[in-house]
Amino acid sequence: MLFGPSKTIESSTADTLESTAKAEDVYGLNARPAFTEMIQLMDLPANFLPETGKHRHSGRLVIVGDVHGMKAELKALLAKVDFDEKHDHLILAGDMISKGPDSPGVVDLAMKLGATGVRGNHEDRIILTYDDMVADHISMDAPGPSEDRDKSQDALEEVSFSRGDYKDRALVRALGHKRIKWLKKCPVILRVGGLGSLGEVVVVHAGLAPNVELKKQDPFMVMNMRTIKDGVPSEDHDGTGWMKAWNKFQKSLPKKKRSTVVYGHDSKRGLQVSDYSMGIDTGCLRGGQLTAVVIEGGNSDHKHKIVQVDCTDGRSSMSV
Amino acid sequence: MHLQHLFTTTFLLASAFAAPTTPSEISRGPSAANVKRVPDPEADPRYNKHIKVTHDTKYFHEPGASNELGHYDIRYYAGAPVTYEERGDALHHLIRSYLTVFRERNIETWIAHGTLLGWWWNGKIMPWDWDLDVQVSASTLTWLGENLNMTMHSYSSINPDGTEVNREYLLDINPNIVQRVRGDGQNVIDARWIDVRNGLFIDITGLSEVNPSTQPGIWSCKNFHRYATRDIYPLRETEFEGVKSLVPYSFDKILTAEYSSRALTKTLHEGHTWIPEQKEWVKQSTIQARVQPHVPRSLQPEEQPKSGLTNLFRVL
Repeated sequence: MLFGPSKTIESSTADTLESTAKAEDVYGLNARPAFTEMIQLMDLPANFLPETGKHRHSGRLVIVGDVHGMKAELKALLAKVDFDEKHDHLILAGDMISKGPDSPGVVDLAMKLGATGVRGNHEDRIILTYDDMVADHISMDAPGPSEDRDKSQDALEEVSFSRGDYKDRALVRALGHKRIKWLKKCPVILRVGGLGSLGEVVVVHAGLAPNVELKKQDPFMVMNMRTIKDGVPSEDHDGTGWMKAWNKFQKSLPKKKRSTVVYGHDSKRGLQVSDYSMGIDTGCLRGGQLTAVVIEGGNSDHKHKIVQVDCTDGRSSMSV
Repeated sequence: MHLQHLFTTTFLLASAFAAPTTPSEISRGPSAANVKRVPDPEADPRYNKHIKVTHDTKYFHEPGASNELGHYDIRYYAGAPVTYEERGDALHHLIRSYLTVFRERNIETWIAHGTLLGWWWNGKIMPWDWDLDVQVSASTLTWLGENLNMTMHSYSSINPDGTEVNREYLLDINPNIVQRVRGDGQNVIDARWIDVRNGLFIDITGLSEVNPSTQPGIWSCKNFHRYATRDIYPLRETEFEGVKSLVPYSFDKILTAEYSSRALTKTLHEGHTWIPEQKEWVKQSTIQARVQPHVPRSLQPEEQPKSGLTNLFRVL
């Protein structure tokens, strides 16, 4: 029974009391329930991991930051890295859709290449908007018992107008059921696996809270964080970048337990490469660059490099 | 009181003439077949007929203003407060029944304030929290007022120990919902979902865009809470107290704006300690625990306007 007699802790000594009172408040101890249809964590199939050694397969990992519907630039970047469709594997670090000229095209390309996507804040919003649109809602605009039977209104238009989500709904329609179904399969956190000196590589859209298990990370913050204060992540631009706390924490761990996170989301900060984090949102949409991290296996260790292409400003040519 | 009778009379007349036109209306929309209206609440044996009717502007009344009594609706208060065990059980089924009935009827609603914070910690009501808070959009609220005011709803559930629970809950919409600004502060609660066995209730508040021209996309309730619509919508489906529930899109932002980021890290609250391994708030037995008397929102003195403005500046 959920609510039996109150469970109590018998605190025997004053010392115990005092230490409880001073206990450090820690972020990440909560046990929030899961969200319907949101995949928190997924492991990349092992066969995609670049191998090391003489007889390694030649496959590489190509991780690309916020594409935002800039299909031409994505194709150009893949060409620049000599993307081998048979052996290389593409990972899109979220925000592959929205704002740019061809979101459906980017998703089609990702599907065609068998790429793995990570759920970014834009995927998140579009998926939930889709769910809202297909759900059975009681019609608030049907005439009430005391109203004229002939009264009719475009329920969708009115709802859309007051919620300010007209563009989101239009994008949902442009993407359609099949592409959104593919987007729903993108996890919030993609655990790639151990890659030599990089440690365990993880790809997320925005960031990770240090010292919190991947399973227990707050998915909203993983898709939105930019800064961190007293251990609590925030979307705000102002403040200490979360990656500073992340790198500091990684360096406090034994080498074998360290983890490198590849992320996007923060175009204002642009390319940010540290020992244990790589920020690759370089503002392609606004005429910046589109960036890829290319990881391949060498004879003894994995190596990685950054490859970029220039982008035209994609905002003016927005179709949705 | 007069307004309440006006509402119920309108309903009696309306239900006589309104006929469902489409199959979906028959199965989903309220009709004589699937709604139990309460035209004469005073005839119900559970209704306290001896209560004195106060002629003030406040619609909802409680038997007292204390921590204890402020959480009961005076019309259904059984005469004495419920025991600790009864209270936990009552609140558990109170929120479950509300979320279940609204979901079955495809009426959009989400959990808010302290209830949302309880969800964030472990998907349950925080043990010291008397208030249950949910929100709806203003259009939903208007619709509820027109279609489901003063209706009784049945709820049944099987407890983990196999026992059955069969209860009834009254949905009562405040006639003052037409006024979307705070006014004299006596009617900041838009509606109540009431356990008719004992008068315990859920506070339902509606959000509306009070200044569409000067502050587009900002919705507020009648108690100074303001939100950007893009922080509420699209809603997320999750679980609360074992049933499906919706929460706002930017739940972290909303919680930290209302309670500060410390609410997400502080593991000592109102004499309870958060035990991560148990995923529970466990009550400390010590007398050292200083428990603040909890005044329900409907009885709180007028909040500092400052908090509302700070809230506003944050969302703009």
